[in-house]
Amino acid sequence: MSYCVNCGVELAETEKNCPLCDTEVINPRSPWQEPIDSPYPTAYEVAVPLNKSKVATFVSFLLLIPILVTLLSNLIANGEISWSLYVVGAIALVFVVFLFPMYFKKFYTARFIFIDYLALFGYLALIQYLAGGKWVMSIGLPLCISSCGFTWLFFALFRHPKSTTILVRLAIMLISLGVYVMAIELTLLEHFGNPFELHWSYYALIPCAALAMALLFLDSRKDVKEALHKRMFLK
Amino acid sequence: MKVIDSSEKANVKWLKVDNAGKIYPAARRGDWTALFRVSATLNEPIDVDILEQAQRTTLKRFPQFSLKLKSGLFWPYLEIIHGSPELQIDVANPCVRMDLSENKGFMLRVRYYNKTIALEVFHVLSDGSGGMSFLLTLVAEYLRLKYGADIPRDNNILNCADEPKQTEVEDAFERFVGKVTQSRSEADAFYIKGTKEPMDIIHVTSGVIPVNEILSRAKEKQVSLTEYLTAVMIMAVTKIQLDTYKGKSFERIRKKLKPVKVSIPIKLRKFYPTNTKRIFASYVNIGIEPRLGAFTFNEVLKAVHHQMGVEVTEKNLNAKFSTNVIAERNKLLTLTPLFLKNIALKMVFNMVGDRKSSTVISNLGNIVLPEEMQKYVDRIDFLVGPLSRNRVTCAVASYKGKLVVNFIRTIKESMLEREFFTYLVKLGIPVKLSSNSGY
Repeated sequence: MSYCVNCGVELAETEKNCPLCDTEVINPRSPWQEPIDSPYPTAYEVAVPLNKSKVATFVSFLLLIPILVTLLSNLIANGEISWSLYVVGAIALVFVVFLFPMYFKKFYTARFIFIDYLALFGYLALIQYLAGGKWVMSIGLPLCISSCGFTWLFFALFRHPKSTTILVRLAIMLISLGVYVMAIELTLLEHFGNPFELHWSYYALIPCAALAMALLFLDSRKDVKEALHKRMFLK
Repeated sequence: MKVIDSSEKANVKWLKVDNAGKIYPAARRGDWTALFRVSATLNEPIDVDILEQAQRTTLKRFPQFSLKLKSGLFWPYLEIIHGSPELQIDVANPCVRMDLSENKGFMLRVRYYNKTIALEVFHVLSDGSGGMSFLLTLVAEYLRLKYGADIPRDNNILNCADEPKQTEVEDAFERFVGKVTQSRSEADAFYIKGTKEPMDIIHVTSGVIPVNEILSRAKEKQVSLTEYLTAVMIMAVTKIQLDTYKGKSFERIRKKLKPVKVSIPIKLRKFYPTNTKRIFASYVNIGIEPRLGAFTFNEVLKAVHHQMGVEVTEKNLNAKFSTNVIAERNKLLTLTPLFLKNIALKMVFNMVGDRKSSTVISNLGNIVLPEEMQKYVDRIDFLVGPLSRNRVTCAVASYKGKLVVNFIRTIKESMLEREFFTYLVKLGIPVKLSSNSGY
């Protein structure tokens, strides 16, 4: 009969360590021995999570139906594969965005966002290839990069809710939204060969920045926060 | 209220999933199924062939356990399966997620190891009492076949020579539903965080306590055994919560403290004349508000005793389950296709689910077996599988003067068991522990 020196509970003869605190049982009068009759089985059920990948594969097969139908109709009607590639590309995009992450146990936010935008860029490139024009490198690429950064920032900020206060996070979001809008305008200016003079993105940037400053100010001033709370409390 | 003739035979081809059971199919995840386990340890190693025969006859007597989960257009339903599942060799990690596509679709598994016969059941089929009735009937059949033991049968240990009865397969929620509903809103409880283990690591810590030791103390305080254990559990959880803010003054942490609540399943069979073996249980969340200050054990005991007194009444429990049954009858909800319902139910479950309690203590009570059976059965265990969010659960059953307290845990840290058992030891109640930690 042994007791845990740390917890004071009596331990069954089968216990080598205390199940509560892991302290080793040292009883000079009855040293621990491998139990002949273990109260618990030694076999062990190995379980892996029921895979979401099965669902993903099933849906992927379902998606093959519209792909085949459009390819076939295109081939029969036009004697070549042309417009059906739009559909194929779009379905491929759906696969990458929604089904591809289901093959992973964890949700790797940054990597998946990057892959999604890469796929989007690929689809845009396909559209340019099919429809002609010269815009994918000058508009598509910069927009994909800036949107990717913006989306990532959005997820990163709201993933660890306790790292900063909500006001600071909102302020960062607002500033980056302003910068993002500016990046869009610059991209368009570059593409159309206009001089780098901002016209309309100011209208987004200035209020965003002003509001962000106000939020940061609010976050730093306890008395203002309190005054606001006093005037606007709900319960 | 519909009256059921107790001798009316059951003709089960399929059953609707009852009100309490509906949440489980929707809430289950790839790595989690709501399971519970009851097991009996005999005084001799198990004879597998005989156990197989016993399982066959028992399953015939319990059609409500030979069911397969199917999806209808609007609601899930349970379809009878003929035959029996394969017996499984017991494992060290009980209540691991059940894959419903395996085991011929059966939602139970009968396992054996050495001298133990164990039954693990997906909660959609039944509750602890129903499961225990199945297990005891299985063991009685086993003993009959093995030793020719003549065990008297009753409403708990059923006679397998009889036909299944309608009252045993009935949806008692539907029969006893009332007209009054009540609000379900409740504050979220403190949640024991910890380092999650992989889904197939399940720690079992089992404490054996002499019933008279603990019962005399409970009587001294004029509370029931469940109330006494709940109070100890609340003390343990409260200490864990305070320890998470170690080094800070109470005034600084006061606002951050959350209510400590323990969910206690309540048998409804005690209140209503039914012998259903399907789910017929409700629960109450009993606890304290640590923001009010430090509670002494006596204060917690008092709080638990009086809260139980208010909550565990037929009227209150009826309003509680009627709320769910009436909500389910909503026309719009009924007409929503099942897959949408499942999404909605899952969302509700994730938002509410077991957030309202810090852990669960399920007490199956004192199990008394007929003399002819008792001499073969040494020990009875009850385990509640891990919950969706709360990763430490506690299940209790007493038999032959011993109270067996089983903790199941899917986090690395054993703090709750430690606080709970050491608190009992400090109260002067001896505890003998064993665990599956060696595997």
